[in-house]
Order: sequence, then C-alpha cells, then structure tokens
Amino acid sequence: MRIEELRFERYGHFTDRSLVFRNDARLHIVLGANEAGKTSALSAIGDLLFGFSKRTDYDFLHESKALRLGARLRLDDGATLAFRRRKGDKNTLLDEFDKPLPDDVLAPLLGAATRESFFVEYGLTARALRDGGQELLKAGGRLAETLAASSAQLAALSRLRARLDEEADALFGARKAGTKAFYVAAARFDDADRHLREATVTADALKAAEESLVEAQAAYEALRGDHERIGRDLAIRARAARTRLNLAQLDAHRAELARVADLPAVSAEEVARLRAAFDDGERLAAALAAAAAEDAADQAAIAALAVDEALLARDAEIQALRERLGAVRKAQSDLPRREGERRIAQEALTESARRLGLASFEALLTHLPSDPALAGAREIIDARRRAEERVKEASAQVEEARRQLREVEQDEGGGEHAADPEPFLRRFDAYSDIPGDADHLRRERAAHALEAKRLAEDAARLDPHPGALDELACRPLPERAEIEAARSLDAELADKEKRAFADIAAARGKLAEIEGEIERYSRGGGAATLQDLATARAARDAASAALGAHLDGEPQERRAAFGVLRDATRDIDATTDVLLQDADRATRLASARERLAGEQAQLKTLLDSEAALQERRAAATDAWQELWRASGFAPRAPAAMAQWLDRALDLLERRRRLEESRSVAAALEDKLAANSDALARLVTDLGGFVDSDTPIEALHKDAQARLSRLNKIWTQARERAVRRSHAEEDVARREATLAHSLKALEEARAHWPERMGAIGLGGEASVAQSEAALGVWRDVPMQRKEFEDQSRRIQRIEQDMADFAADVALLVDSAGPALAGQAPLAALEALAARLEAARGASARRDALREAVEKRAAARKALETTRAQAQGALDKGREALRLASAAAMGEPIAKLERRAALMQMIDDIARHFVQIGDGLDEAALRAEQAGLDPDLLSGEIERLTIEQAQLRDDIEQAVTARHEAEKRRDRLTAGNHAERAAQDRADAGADVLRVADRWLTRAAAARLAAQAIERHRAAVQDPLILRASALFSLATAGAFSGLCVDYDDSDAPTLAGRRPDDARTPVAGMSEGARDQLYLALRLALLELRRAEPLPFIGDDLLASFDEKRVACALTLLAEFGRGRQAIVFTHHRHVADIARETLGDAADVTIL
Amino acid sequence: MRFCFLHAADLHIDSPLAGLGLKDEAVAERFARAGRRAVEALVDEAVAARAAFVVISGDIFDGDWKDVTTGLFFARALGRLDREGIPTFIVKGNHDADSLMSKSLPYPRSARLFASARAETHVIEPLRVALHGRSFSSRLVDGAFVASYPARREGWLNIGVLHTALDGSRGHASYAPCTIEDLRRFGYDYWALGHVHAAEIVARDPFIVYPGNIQGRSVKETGAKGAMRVSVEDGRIVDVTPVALDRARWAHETIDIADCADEAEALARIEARLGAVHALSEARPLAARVTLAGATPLHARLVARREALEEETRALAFRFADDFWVEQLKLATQAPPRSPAAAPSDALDVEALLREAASDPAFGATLAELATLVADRLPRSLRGDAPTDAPALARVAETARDLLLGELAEFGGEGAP
Repeated sequence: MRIEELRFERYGHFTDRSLVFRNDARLHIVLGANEAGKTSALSAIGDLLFGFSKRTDYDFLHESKALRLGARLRLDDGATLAFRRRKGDKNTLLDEFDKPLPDDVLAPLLGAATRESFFVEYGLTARALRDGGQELLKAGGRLAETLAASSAQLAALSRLRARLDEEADALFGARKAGTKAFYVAAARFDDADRHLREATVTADALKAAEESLVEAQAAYEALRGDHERIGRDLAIRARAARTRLNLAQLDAHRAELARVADLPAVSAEEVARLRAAFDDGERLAAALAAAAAEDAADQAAIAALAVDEALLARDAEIQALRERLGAVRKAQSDLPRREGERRIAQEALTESARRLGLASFEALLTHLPSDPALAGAREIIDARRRAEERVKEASAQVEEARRQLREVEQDEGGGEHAADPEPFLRRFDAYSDIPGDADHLRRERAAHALEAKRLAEDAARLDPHPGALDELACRPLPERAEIEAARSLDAELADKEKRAFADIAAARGKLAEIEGEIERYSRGGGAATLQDLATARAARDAASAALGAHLDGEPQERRAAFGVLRDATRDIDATTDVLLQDADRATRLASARERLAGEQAQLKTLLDSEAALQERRAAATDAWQELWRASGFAPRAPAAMAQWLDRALDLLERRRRLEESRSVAAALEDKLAANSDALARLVTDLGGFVDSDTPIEALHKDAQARLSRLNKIWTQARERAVRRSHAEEDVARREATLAHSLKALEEARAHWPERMGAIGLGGEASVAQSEAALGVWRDVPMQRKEFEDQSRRIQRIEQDMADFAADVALLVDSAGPALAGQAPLAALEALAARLEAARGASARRDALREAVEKRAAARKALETTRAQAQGALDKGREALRLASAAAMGEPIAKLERRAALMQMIDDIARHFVQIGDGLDEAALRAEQAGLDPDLLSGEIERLTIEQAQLRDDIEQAVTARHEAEKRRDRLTAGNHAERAAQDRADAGADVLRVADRWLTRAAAARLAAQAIERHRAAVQDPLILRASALFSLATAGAFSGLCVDYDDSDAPTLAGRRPDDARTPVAGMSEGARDQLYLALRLALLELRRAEPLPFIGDDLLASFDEKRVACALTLLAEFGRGRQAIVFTHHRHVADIARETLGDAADVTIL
Repeated sequence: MRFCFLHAADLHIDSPLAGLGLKDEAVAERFARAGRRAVEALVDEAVAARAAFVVISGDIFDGDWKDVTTGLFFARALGRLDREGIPTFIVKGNHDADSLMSKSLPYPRSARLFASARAETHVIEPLRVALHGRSFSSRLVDGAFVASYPARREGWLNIGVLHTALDGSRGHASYAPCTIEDLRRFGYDYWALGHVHAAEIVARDPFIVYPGNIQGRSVKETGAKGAMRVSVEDGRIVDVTPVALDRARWAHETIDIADCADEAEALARIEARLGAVHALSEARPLAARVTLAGATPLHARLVARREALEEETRALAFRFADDFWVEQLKLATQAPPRSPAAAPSDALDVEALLREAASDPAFGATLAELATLVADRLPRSLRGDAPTDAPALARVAETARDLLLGELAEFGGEGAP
C-alpha cells in the first residue's frame, strides 16, 4: 500500500491542504521547518488509518467534530482506494461523496496492526534507531535475540521476559531461600499449622487433665487424714504435759486438807469475820494510845505562841498604801526626763522666732498664719519660679535657633552649578557591557594564541606527521569504521596466525612423539602385525591351491607342494604365536601407525591454512595501503592508525573550534569599535576632552568618574535647601514659645504682694526669701504642740507624789509612832515587815487548835469500833471453846489455811477447763492412763516434726490440685483453636496465591522465550538474506553482508561479513555500522510481512548522521522503497539535498 | 394453640472460613469468630422468639475437627436453652459421625440426641408434637436409612429430622439418598432436613425444608445464612420464615464490563455494584469476590494489571465500610474475537506468535514441569489445590499469554511506572 495523497481537509492548523506523494519515487522526503506541521502530519497518518482518538490535540482551529482527513491509497494489486476519515464514534470512514464506508474496509490492509504497533513497527525516530543499535549490542549477537531486537514489539517482549523472570525469581525457586516470598509464606503456613496443633484441645488431653485433677484431690484428702490423726495424738500428749503438774498439786492439797479435818466446821465468811475482829482489836488499842500523846504536845505549843493583834487590825490600810508604791516610784524616775523634753520644745520655738525675726517664742505663737494663707503663698511662689525658668529656657532656645539659621545661610557650597545627572546616566547605561567585553576580548586573544601554539605542537607529535592542519582538513581520510574494520581484521589475523603457529608446533611435536613411540615398539624385534598374518594366510592359501593342483600330479611335485604348504602353515603358526605372545605391543604399534598417518594429514591441513592466512595477510596489507593512498599518508599498523585518526580528528575539531572562537572575537571587536564614538560624545557632553587614541575602557572610566561627580554636586545642593527650610521653621517655633512664657510671668507678679502679706512678708520679698519664710512657718505648729504636751505631764506627776507622802504620815502616827521621822517609803516598808510576823503566829495557833478538836472526835469513834470487835471475838472464842480471846490467833490461822486449800482445789478444777481443752479431771486422768510421763516430751517433738512435714506435703498437694484444676479449666476454656484454624486457612491461601503468581510469571517468561525462538525460526533465513543485501548497501560496501556464525556453545550468532569474507561480530561493529544494521534488519523484517505492505515512516531519522552516512541510509531506504513506500519527515534541508544528489528522480521531496 | 420452633442445620462450628488474606487483625478476628457468634445468635433467637423447641438436622461439627472445646462451647449454648426451658432435638450428620471429639459431650437433659442404631421418636406431650429422627452412625448411609423412619403418629404434629442429600441433584454426594416422594409417603407434617448448605423450601405439602448452614464459610456460600422459624397453629404448620443469624457474610458479584470503554469506567461500575452488595449485608463484615466478565478489548491489559486492580477494588470497598473486604478480583473476561477480515498473521504479529507458542505441546510440557516444581514444594496438605491438571494448566497458559499481551500493550514491556 502506498499513500498517493494525504489531504488535511480540517486538521490542526491545516485547512484543505494536500500532500501528494509521487508514485514513481522510491523515497519521499517531507521537508518542514519546525512548527510547519510535521508532527501534525505524522499524527494525521495514524488518525487516518486507525481513527481519531476520543481526545485530540488537533481541534484548536477547527471544531473537534468537524475534523476530517482524506487519502488516496494505491494498493499492492494496483487498485486505488480513496476515502475520508471524520472524527466520531461510528461510520467514521466515508467515500468521496460522503457516504459511509464499512468500518472494516481498512482491515485487510492493516491486519493485526494497531495505532501503537503501527508507529512502533513502521515508524522510526533517530532516538529509536540509536536505541535499536544498543539493543543489538545487548543481544550479544545471539541470533534469536538479535532478530527479536530488530522488531520493536519483540524487543519489548524480550525485555518483558527478563523482567518477569526477575519477578518470578523473587517469588520462588527450586532451592529453598528465606528471601523468596513463597518460602516465607510456606514458613508462615507451617507455623500456623503447628500453632493449630498446639492450640487444639483433644478429648484425650481433656480427659487426662480431669484424671490428674481427681488424683491430685485424692492425694490431698489422704494427707489431710494423716494430718488429723497426728494432730490428735499430739493434742493428747500436749494436754498431758500441760495438766500433769496440776493433777499432782491436786493430790497434795487434798492430803493437807485431811490433816486439818478436826477443826470445827466454820464457814469461810465466819473465819474471815473472826480474823478481821482479831486484827481490829489489836490495831485500835495502838491508835488510841498514840492520840493521847499527840494531844499533850499540841496544847504545849499553843501556850508558847505571842500574837500582835493591833497591827493585824491595820492590815488592809497598809496593803492599800503598798499597792500605790509602784506608781510613786515611776513618777519619781519620769519627772526629770519630762522636764528635759519640755525644755527642748521651748528652745525650738525660740529658734523659729529668731529665724523669722521675732522677739520671743510667745510673739511667734501670736503671729502664726492660717493654713490657707500658707497654701496661697506656696502656690504663687511655685508659679513665679516656673514662669521665670521657662522664660530663661525659651530665650536660650530662640538664640540657638537663630544661630543655626545664620550658619545655614552662610553655607552655600562651593558655588558650583548643580545640574540633573539623570539624562547622562541613561546614556551611560547603554555602555555597561563595554568593560566586560573589552576584558573578554583581551583574554580570548591570548587564549587563541596559546591554543594555536599547542595545536602546532600536538600536530608535530603525530606519526606520520599530518602537515599543516589547514591542509590536513582537506585531505580525504579513511572512515573510522574502515580503520576499525582493518584493525579488527589485523587483530583477527594476528590471533589466527598465532594460533596456527601454535597448532603447527603442537602437531609437529605430536608427530615426533608418535614416531618415537613407533620406534620404541619396533625395537622389541620380530614384531608381528595383522598384516603379517594376512600375508602368511595368503601364502598358505596359495600353497594349498598349488597342492590341490598337484594332487593328481607327480609324487615329487606333490611332496614339494606339500612342503610349501607345511612351511606356509608353520609361518602362520609362528606369526600367530608371535601375535598371541605380543598382542599388546602389536596393537599399540598398529595404533601408533594409524595415529601417525592422521597427524600427518592434520599437519598438512594446518600448513595449508597457514599459507591461506599468509595470503589474507598480504591482501589485508595491500588493502590497508590502498585505503590510505588517497590521503597521501604512509600508514602505520591499523591499531596505531586508529589512534592516529582519533588524534588527527581531535586536532581538526580543536582547529574548528579555534576558528569559531576567533570569529566570535572579531565580532566583539567590531561591536566595541562601534560603541567607541558614541562614548566619546558622552564624555565631551560631560565636559571632558577626548583624544582619538584614548582606549575605549579609559573613555568608559572617564565618563563614569564625571557622572559620579555630577551626581554628588546635585545631591549636596538638594540637601542644603532642605536644611535651611528646617532652620527657619525652628526659629519661628521657639519665638512663639518665649512670648507665651513672658505672659505667664507677668500674671504671677501681679498677685505677689497680696499673697506675701498673708505670711508676714512685704511685696518686695524675693522668691528665695518667701520660700525660706514658708519653710520656717511650716514647722511652728508641731513645735507648739510638743511644748504644751510636756508642760501638762510634769504638773500631773508632782501632784501624785505629794498625796502619797501625806497618807503614809497619817498611818505611822497611829500604828508605829516609833517610825515617825523616816522617809515615807522606808516607814511603810518597816510596818509591812512587822505585819507579816504577826500574821504567821496567828495562823500557827489556829492550826494547833483545830488538830486537837479533830483528834477528840476520832478517839471517840475508835472507842466505839473497839467495843464492837470485842463482841465478835467473844462469840468466836465460845465457838472455838477457848478460854481466852487472846489465844485465838493460831486457831484462826488454821481455819484460814483450810479455806485456802479448798479454794486452790476449786481453782485447779476450774483451770482444767482452760488447759484441758474442756475435759474434766476424770477425763484427763483417763486420757493420760498408759502414757509414760518420761517419754512425753520426746513424743511431742517427734509428732510435731511429723506434723510440719505433713503440712508441707499438704501445701504441695494443694498446689498440685490447683495446677491440675487450672490446667483442666484452661483446656475447657480452649486455646482459640478456631482462630488458629482460620490463620492456617489464611496462610494456606497465601501460599497458593504466591505459587499462582509465580507460576503465571514463570509461564509467561517461558512463553515469551518460545515466541522469540519461533520468530527466529520463522524469519531467520529470508530475513538474513534480505538484511544482508540492505546492510551492504547501507555501509557502502564496507560490509558485503551478514552471516550466521556459531559461538563457543554452538549457539547461532549474527555477524557482519567483510568483502574479504572476514567476519565482524555485532560487538565489533562501530556504532554507526550497528545503527545501519538495525535499520537494515527492521526494513527487511517489514518486507517479510505477508499482508498488504504499510508505508514506513521515518521521523527525523537521520538527525545524528553525518552526510556520508545520510547518503548511505537514504540509499538503503530507497532500496526498501522499491517494494514498499518509505516516507521520511525531516527539518534538515541537507537531507533533502543529499537525497536529490544521491537518488536523483527516485527521491520525491515535498515541502510542508 | 400457637407456638413456633427453630430449625437449623450444618453449624460446622469452628470450621475455618476460606482463606481471606485479610491484613487487618481486628477484622480478621471478626470473621474468625463469626461461626460461634452465629450459634450464639441461634440461641438468642430461640429465646427472643420464645421458641417451643429447636431442631438441629446434623453436621454440628466438622468430622476432622479435634478441638474438644468446640463441643464444650456447643454444650454451653444448649445449656442456656435448657435454662430457658427450650429443649433441643439433634440428629448427627455425616460429619458428626466422624467426629471423635463430640463422642461424650456434657449435653443438658433437655437436649435429645436421636440414636443411630435405629430411628426413634421423641414426643412433646403438651404440644402434641412427635419428632422422628435417626443419627448417622458412619459417614455414608444408604437408602435403607430413610426407610427405617417410623410411621406417622396420628393426631400429632409429625416432624422428621433427617440429614440427607435427597437425590444428590444439589451438587452434594449421595448421603442418605431419597426422593421427595419417598418423604411424602411418610405423611409427616414437616421434614427438617440438613446437609445442603443453601437454604431451600423444597416442598410445601408437606414442608420439606433445608435451612442452609448457619454461617457462610466461603465464596460458594453467599448471601444471608441462618435458620428457619416454623410457626404452628392448631397442629398445622402455617409459616416457615428464614431468619438470618450469620455474623459475617459472603458475596460473589459477576460484573459484565463488555461495554466499558476503559478501566475507569469498569472501576466505576465495580464501585456501584459493591455499594449495592454492601447495602444488603445488614452491617455485617462482608467478604466479596468480584469476577469481571465479558468480551472486551481491555482483557489483556486487565490480566496484566489484575493485582493492581484487585488492590484498587479493595480500596473501593473500604469506602463503604472498614470490614468490607474484597477476597479476590477474578477475571473471566475474554478478548474480542479477531476480525475475520484481518490479514493472515505474519512475523510482526506478536499476538499470533504468542498464541501459537502457547498452544505448542512443548510449551504445555514446560508448563507442566513448572507446575509440578512448585506443587512439590507446597505444604503437603495444599498440594491438591495446585493447578496440575490439564484444564488448570490450559488456564495458566491463557493467563500467561494474556499477561504478556497486556503488559506489552500497557507498558511496552518496561513494567508499571
């Protein structure tokens, strides 16, 4: 299929625009500058063939639904198909008359191609071409991958396969690895499985737990029984130990009781009463005697006492005076202090009078002004003083402001004229680049000189010498690829020569070895070979035949023939014997001879190969020389020349850059020269003088300095004007302030005489005088108050002291005339001492009298009690049948003992209740019958130990029972086995998911590999055949074609074939050759397409090619264009030019 | 006289749900506990509905389940019914017959277990109800099993409690085989069946009823699950109503995306369907499988992006609830048939190359080796689930092919960005 016409009816910025492709051309070049619509045209081809996308970028001029394209196609069978494509959902294909065409009318043309696959397979960009070359390199020459790489989709499939392999490998591998997701998931499943087993509570486990609980309970019960029995035995023995002593005491008490059984029966209460009466009688007699003695002593003491009753009668009076003593003593000590304070107050008043110029303090107190008069005076003083201060301050400020104004008026600068610099600055700005440009130009020139020198030096180091670089640039040098090919061939030949030399040497060594072997085996002598045996057998057969022929002949002949036969038979036997005896040596010899022949043949082959190699070497050398002939250089070895070429090309490149740089410098120089005149005019306008030789940088600096000065003068003038305006405003403001202050002072002076008169001063008093008087008057009221207070206090003290002395004199006259004449205080103290002595004697006498009275009453009571006791004793005596009451002491003691014994017996019986655990005496005695008292403590100790041991055992049994119970409960409650089962199910599902993911990826990777292999098998032969021809064209014969080689592992690989039949692997090709190879393979593959051929679209395909290679590539595309349509879009005009030059009319150039 | 009873079957207590791959522990816990909570819901329902009794038609436990606390849990549940005065009538099913764990569980006195040696009848005198039943003694019982049920007791409400697959037409193996006609002949008023996990009122005269299992356990058991509440009035069945008791729910939505222009449109349709299915879940934790179907040009791209799409679908489900989990996104889509008008395939037709390679017996052998390799490394108990048979391998081959085509179309072999 060929596109004959592509119509942009309404599309992008096109309206009714057509591209016509000439039918007889082999290559169509669509030349369009950037923005000419090249991308639109490419997109239009896609939209035309495959329909508009839902969203389009080409509706900016025409409405989206109005977009329309048209085309006329020439099919492979010569038929024409004209149709139009509109944007829409259905019926988007129309004929010339806008009638809908079937949607699948293009299907036979497009086959399985989609919009994406069309541009991927049939379209090619410079970038894709370079990437394709890299893909070939990555494929490492392996045929399947190389052929796959030539198809964009298969290349993608190959990359996808590698990625899927990686993903699959991360998921799973035959070898277990902890990092692989499958084994991680499987480990999780195993964990979950184990956890489920652990969590499962089986019926057996639960039964076992219950049984162990029953056992633990039984063990506990048994221990409890033992513990109770031992406890009982221990209690009996402990009780026996406790009660044994009491039982013995009981026996002793009862025996003693028997001994006083003869006493009459007297109740215990009666005994107690007798005892009390007996003891009372004794005690009362003693008490009565003691009371009589005490009475006598007290009466004697009362008689000896003397008491001053008169003094005691004045007791209250004396006490009242004594209570006033404290106040009198304090008044005596305060009086001098008070008098001193009154004197000080008086002196202060006198001083104030003096300061105010008055005669005495009394005159002062008479003239004391009122408080309002004082306040009025204070106010007027303050007002006058403030007004005077403000007038003074304002006068000074007015003077200062006037001084500053005068200064400003005097400073009028240097009298220089100030002009606005702004217009000059704007002109100067236009030349801001000049210093940088001038500096740059100077550096560039220095760098050019240096580079030129280095270029000459570097060129001189090259061997062969390249001569002048300008000449070298014109010489036709071989292509890098050709040198590379020669280098590769040289290396290959050298390698092969080296290997051939080694192989020949090895073969010769082997031959010598085999010959030595043969000689060694032959040295044994008499060696027989199978050949010898065959010869002998032939001789025998001949002799046998001769004998047969002579059987009917003469006996002599028969005998002779028989002899020959016998000899032959012997020979066979001898040979056979030797063979049998020396079979091994013979076999080795035969083998050695066979190998010798083989090695000789091999050596010959090797020598032939070496000769062929030498021929190839000679041819290569000739070709090498020929390659360089046009350049005029005598080449060194290819490897050296490859380096030489690199350096030479580098030198040429540096020379080119130097030239470019020089032209830039020249342009810069022109620019500076043009600016120089304008800058000179500016300097002149600024008042400078310009010399025509002045360098432009100096002009720039001069202009800059002048502008700077102008700007400075302008700025200073503006600052002075502002300062003067400020000074004038300041003077006016200060003068206004002064006038205001003077007015306030006048007002204060008007009120002055009136206010001063109120405090006793005349109108002429100054501010300082009035302030001093005011200060004195302020203190006078306080001083007067102090003086009056002290005078009142002194008067009161003196009155109190006189009253006290009169009262004391009156008392002394009546109660102690002997004391008259003593000071009041001393007389009072003497009377008080005498009063205290009289009080003591009186109290003592009263106490003795009271004791005597009390004792008399007590004696009377004792007498009564004694009579009662005696009555009771008399009754007892009769009961005890005693003659005298005095002998009753002993019988009463015996009665008491008997009662005590009976009480003790009762106590013990009661005590048994406490220590005998509630058992009575009979029970205790019965319980202890048979117990050996001597063994009691030992048995208790033994039983105690046993009991402690049992307690431990019981504690353990309780713990064991508790544990068993807990275990049973835990099992009954369960271990969340259902959750564990769920976890296991989840983990299992996870493992299967990972396995499934792996299987899908691994299968997909294998499937991709098989698809790539199928592709290779399908296309290999025709593809390589066609690509071989195209590649030869594309390399302008540098390669004669392609061939299939085999690598070390016998895998097929693709290689380039040189005209001399040398093979260059893909890795050995230059980058350019690889790109051409990729292009050749791509185009050859497109040609293999069985369906209607689609046009090949190159999009700026040759952007990175040099002209020679562009020509080759265009030739290649034109060759493809014989059978298929090839369209190249480009914005490089030289591509179109080269196409016209190279292809002539076969190239169809259309300008977009 | 009016009363009602509950009919449940196939509790399969503590049988795990199919693996969900849940990441959220709390939600996983809710799914894991759903089985037991459904049993508790059965008891709650019986108490709330003041049920006269509860009938359980077999398969209370899984046969190979060994954890005895499962039995104790069930015994506790029955204990609560006992305390509420609600007796329980139970036959053992094929799974129970295998269960060693449940041999001697401490059931309360009111729980009546039908004998396995012969069919027997339990009566509830005050209600004039006679329940006839027989437990499985082994995993498989034959047709004579059903024939051994006793004759109808005249004047009573006769209930047959039977674990059976009927004629096996519901996709279950032939356990206690019988036909509907066989059952009708007994003249019972209600056949309380168990075994088939889908609820079904098989017949209404008399009532022959499968209540279905009480809690769905996999994506095959979708929708509401529970028991039947049977209302009786004057000795006659008047109503049979399903009661949802499940505490987690399964759903399987097959969504036709044939007319979706792109993936975004397909996702919008998935979201709409997820919303609809979630609305029916009655606020239960929900596990849904989404299967996309239909012939669509997106097919290969969907295969390549299946895992990413699955994650996106899960994210869509989470918009409706935290415990709405998409168990799996399955693809049952196909590529549209290739146009017959298209040219024959050639070396540039990668799709054709892949199709031919996928149908190559050599690739089949390679695939079988791969499948065997991974199956051999699987834990023993999972090996049966590995795809090693021919149909499964054919599906893997198709998926592998579509994965490659999808990846090429989507990313040009470079992988997702």
